[in-house]
Amino acid sequence: MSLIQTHKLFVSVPGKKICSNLDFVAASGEIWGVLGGNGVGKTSLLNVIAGLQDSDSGQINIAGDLLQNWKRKALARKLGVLFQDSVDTFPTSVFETAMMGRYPYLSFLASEGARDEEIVLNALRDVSMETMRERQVNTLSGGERRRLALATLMAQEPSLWLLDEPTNHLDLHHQISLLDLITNRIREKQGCALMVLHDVNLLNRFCTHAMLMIAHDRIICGSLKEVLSDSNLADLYQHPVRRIKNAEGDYFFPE
Amino acid sequence: MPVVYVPTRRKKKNSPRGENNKFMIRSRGQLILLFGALFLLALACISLSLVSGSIDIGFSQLIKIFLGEDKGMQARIIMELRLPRVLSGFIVGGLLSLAGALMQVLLKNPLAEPYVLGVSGGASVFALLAMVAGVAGLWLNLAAFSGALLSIAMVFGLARLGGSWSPLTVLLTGIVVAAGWGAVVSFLLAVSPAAQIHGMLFWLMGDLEYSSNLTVAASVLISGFIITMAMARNLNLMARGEQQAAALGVAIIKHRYSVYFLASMLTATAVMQAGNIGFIGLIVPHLVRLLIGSDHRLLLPVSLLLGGSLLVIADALARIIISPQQLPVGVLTAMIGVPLFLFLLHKSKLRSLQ
Repeated sequence: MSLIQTHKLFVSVPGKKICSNLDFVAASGEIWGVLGGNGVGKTSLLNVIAGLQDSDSGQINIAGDLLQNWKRKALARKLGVLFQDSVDTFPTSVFETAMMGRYPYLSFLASEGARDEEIVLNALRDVSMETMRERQVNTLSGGERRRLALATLMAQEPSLWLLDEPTNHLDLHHQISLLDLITNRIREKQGCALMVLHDVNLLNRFCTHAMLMIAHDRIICGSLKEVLSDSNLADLYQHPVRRIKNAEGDYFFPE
Repeated sequence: MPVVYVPTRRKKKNSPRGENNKFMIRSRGQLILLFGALFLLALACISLSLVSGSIDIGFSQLIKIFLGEDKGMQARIIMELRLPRVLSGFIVGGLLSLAGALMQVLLKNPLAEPYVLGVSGGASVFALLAMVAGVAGLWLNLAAFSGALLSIAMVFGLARLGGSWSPLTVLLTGIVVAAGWGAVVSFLLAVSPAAQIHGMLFWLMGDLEYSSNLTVAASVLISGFIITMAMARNLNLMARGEQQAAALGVAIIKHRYSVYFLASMLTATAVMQAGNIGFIGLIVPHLVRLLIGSDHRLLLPVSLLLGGSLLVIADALARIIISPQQLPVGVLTAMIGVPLFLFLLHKSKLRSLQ
């Protein structure tokens, strides 16, 4: 079943076109990696698909329904977003922050129950932050904040995950373990992910499909085999890329 | 009213830093204790304020008056002069604290306060014009209120001009509009006859002497409080950024405008009632954030009660410090608020460093 489908999608921000006539389908069980140079519009495209920013024209379907027909709260049960940065102007604890992921499941005046608490604690355990639940968010390191944002997203339990640079600020161990966690979770639930990555090797290891945003009218989508060719990557980065063959999968390095 | 979420596990885990830099509310018992204490504090401030003034009336007599056993001159002083003023102080304190908490979320800025968007500036200009024209009483209040409304509409329209509404555009627009009103206020003060200057300055510094219509202010406070409590959980999410809130399912545009108009109306009502009483709206919500954290389901009622109490006690002091002369209450709110705030800020900083 297709979870995201775009049809003749045009997106632009003031002074820049981001995509023109984009037709793209992501089905359940697929994990898409998005690659593109700085400022090509990866975040804007993600925001448009999440319904947080308007497109110029075209259609977006989320789980079979037009995006504009979704109610915000119902959409939040289906689709979750990990933003590049998190805002913490006001003091809150780790636990309170992760609990915000349960918002879409609570009716107007209901309060969080034992089940919500259990889900949040499990999510914190998954990112190994269960001992930090009372910590104030402003005392966390960059990597810990990232893991907390991921835990919030896991507490939200979406089937469609839009992740903007999930590996930002993470150390090597957490990059691998958290991407493992996310991708397993998505496969188990037959969900789908669209994640912006900067490392083609991580993409090659964890994703099933790739979207290369080379220019607004040249966005290449498809399975890794189809898409990750030397010439495509060289165009993408405007820099020659060397492929090193390996039994478990190829590795890519800049020349 | 949403029930505040209380975790069922109460066992404390130790973590090296950052924990416990506020009094975490962990159980329903503590919740009851907190609100019990706040109600007692409010009651204490109100009765203290009722017995203080140029004519001596003791606590025992106060009780008699409320029981209806004493119907003399002093009963009339309490019921007709002091009680309306004290209640008005409590309401204005509550209005300003709620408005401050809302403005802080709307502008994503812990330093935002009710007057930051120029509501009080518009009210001041119109109130001073009314004084120049020689009106007083209800008309003065109405003039202030219409000035506030004009300013609210102006900032809203100007902030939306560019199409995009960001906290920063709203804040800058508000500050610039406020500065414009400030210039007009200075102009009016400069050209007004000396006899009127004293009254004008008192109004500008905030004074409960001018309060008139309690019912209107009380109903604005109560309905405003109910609406903000219904929005409390959404406010928690909005404080984490509008995009994040929208991604979690908050209808952000609707809420953003509701918060703006709600905060403005609460402020306009407070200004109409008592002029520009500074500091309460900035300090109370911030103080409560330092004490119990940023869950608005707790923050809003605690701010309301604390803000009301603080203003009532400040007004009592304003009446007795240099009695029989009175000070504008705004002077006292700052004199109490500043050291209290600095103390708490310093204490919480020390705790989080440990």
